[in-house]
Amino acid sequence: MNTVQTQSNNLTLSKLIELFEIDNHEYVLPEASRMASLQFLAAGAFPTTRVEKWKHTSLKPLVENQYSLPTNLSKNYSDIKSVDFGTGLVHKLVFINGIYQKQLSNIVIGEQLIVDELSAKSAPQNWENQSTSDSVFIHLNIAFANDGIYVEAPANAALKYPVYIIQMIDNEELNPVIHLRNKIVAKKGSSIKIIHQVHSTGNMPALCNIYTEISTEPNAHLEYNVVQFDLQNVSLVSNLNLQQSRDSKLETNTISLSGKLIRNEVVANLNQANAEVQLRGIYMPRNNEHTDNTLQIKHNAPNCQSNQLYKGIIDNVASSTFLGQIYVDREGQKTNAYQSNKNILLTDTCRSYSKPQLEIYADDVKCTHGSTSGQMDKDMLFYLQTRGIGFENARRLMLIAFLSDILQAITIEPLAQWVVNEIHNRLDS
Amino acid sequence: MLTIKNLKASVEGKEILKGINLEIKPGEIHAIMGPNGSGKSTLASVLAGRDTYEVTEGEVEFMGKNLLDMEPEIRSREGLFLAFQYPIEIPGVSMTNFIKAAYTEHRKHKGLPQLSPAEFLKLMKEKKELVEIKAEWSGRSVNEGFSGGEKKKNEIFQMAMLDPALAILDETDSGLDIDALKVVANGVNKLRTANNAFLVITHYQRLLDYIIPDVVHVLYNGRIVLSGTKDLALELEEKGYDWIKKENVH
Ligand SMILES: Nc1ncnc2c1ncn2[C@@H]1O[C@H](COP(=O)(O)OP(=O)(O)OP(=O)(O)O)[C@@H](O)[C@H]1O
Ligand SMILES: [Mg+2]
Repeated sequence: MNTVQTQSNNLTLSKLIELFEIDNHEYVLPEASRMASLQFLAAGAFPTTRVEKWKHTSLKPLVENQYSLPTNLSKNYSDIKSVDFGTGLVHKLVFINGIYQKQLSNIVIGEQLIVDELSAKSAPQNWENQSTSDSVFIHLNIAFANDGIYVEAPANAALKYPVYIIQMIDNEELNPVIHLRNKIVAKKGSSIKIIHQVHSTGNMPALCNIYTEISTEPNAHLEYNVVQFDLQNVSLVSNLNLQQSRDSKLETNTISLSGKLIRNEVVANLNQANAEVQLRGIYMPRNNEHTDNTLQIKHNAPNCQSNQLYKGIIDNVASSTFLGQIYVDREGQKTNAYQSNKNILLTDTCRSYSKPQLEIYADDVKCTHGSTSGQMDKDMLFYLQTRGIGFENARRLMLIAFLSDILQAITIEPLAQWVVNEIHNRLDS
Repeated sequence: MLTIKNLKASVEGKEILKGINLEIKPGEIHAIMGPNGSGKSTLASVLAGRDTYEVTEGEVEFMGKNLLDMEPEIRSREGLFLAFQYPIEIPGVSMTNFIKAAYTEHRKHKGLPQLSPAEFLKLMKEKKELVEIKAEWSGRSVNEGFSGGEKKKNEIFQMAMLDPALAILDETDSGLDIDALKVVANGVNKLRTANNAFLVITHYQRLLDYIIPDVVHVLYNGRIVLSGTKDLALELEEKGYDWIKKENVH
């Protein structure tokens, strides 16, 4: 086990990279890409809040800890916290500390679905070219991702069962740093639903850096649900890259229930006419947690529609950031782009920061955005109380109601139920 | 049932209720009238437990207990109901979930066993019929997108469900068409027993043709300045409030 040795206690990029030098893992991406990224990283540093895109999210929780490379843990992981599907079927893909666990995974037979573990040996996955990215985390992922999954819904396949990616972080005795890379493709006319869960089981610091690419071909329909929970001591950075072809529809529901530091960055590319993307999110940081959702929607083609709907409930001294950029290219005529971010602040000491950003180069564009932030509505609470509903119960009813439009957008019933239960438990504690 | 003694309340340092005295006995219907801004809704809110108003003096006894000591939800469970002048919309909370949560708390408070889902639905249907409200409301969010009149009817529906000892109706008649007014009045009359009481705040004598009050009070400038029989309402309808205002200049 190699631990980063530091003089100042802070983790620097070069110290993190040093960790991997004695690593004998095989990496997922081709050497040429890896080398280019390593070169970028050699000259780089973790962004501070002086960098515009990180102005409202400090990496302090990430850099003030040390991490080590995950080792093989010979534990029995049969009891992983997850959504209960009862007798319902689901394709389950389990990763522990970034390594695929074949014996815990299960693909339902008879479904038209292609699943491949990513490895150095697997065929090149035609990743989006990220060589010009300015993101340290994307380059770290290119350089050090050593596992992941490729999921494909073949042309015209309407998948019956959801694909459930469980990514568990075991930080009970170890402070792992994890790089994971996934690619999900919905081929022409197919439809598929995904759940991507990230959670941890311990209290040691951990750093998890995920990169996921999703593409929808013409007429495909994809629903991607992310659930992030029990990440009390984890810094999670997730980059999601969406590529959409004509007439495709992509929906994401990102549910961040708890995490010391969560940064969900999404770049959505509407590359061909009539594509639609619905991006929704719920975040509920508490204690001194911080959740960041940074989105960039690129309308690169005409007649596309995008809709961002993010809602936060912030507690204690927690904070949140929402940055939503809508970019409409000259080609993006007849664009419909909407954005809404609403926050409920449960205490006087929590904070939420919200900022829309519009960059529009086409003239025939419909674009609206709105953001609200405030305490719970006292009139509503009082009304419920006058009917005999106790304060706590009234508060819970109202908060669930506040989130209801997003909860209703989750079409995988057991997942929706599970999320509601988790939120109930959270609000009760 | 309800005894209010010298009740004073203020908001942001401004005194609004300036010494209210009122006694309501089981089986009675009291009406409160009075010019705009005289403190009628404030009285209703203070009785229901709204914490924006600070009670600076006085006592309120409800069913033998100190009302002012109770949280709003306890007042409700103890049998006090307020039909709001402006019912609140609660997007995302369905009517069914809302009324069920309320009803469950009331049963629990009284130590009664909970109803089965079927029994509950039956009760809801019965009470909906009483105020002639549409079945499709159950799935909708509380008061959201309801018309003014529908909101008022919805208050009466909730009252019927919770079966309070004392119901305060704050201008439930305002904004109702003549048929709806009859429905609401009829609802009240059907719920009326020898053991419960009503405090009806209204601007219009018309309502009192249907809900016959035992006593009519005039609230002016934070005080009850006049009380009488239902004929007082007729007199006010005819003469307006000017004569009362003149008699009560300070
Ligand atoms: N929360 C508040 N903050 C400030 N002033 C208030 C508040 N609530 C009531 N008031 C004031 O107290 C006075 C009494 O208001 P209230 O609503 O009780 O009158 P009302 O008799 O119900 O009038 P109406 O017939 O118009 O319904 C008014 O002058 C009103 O502006
Ligand atoms: Mg009023």
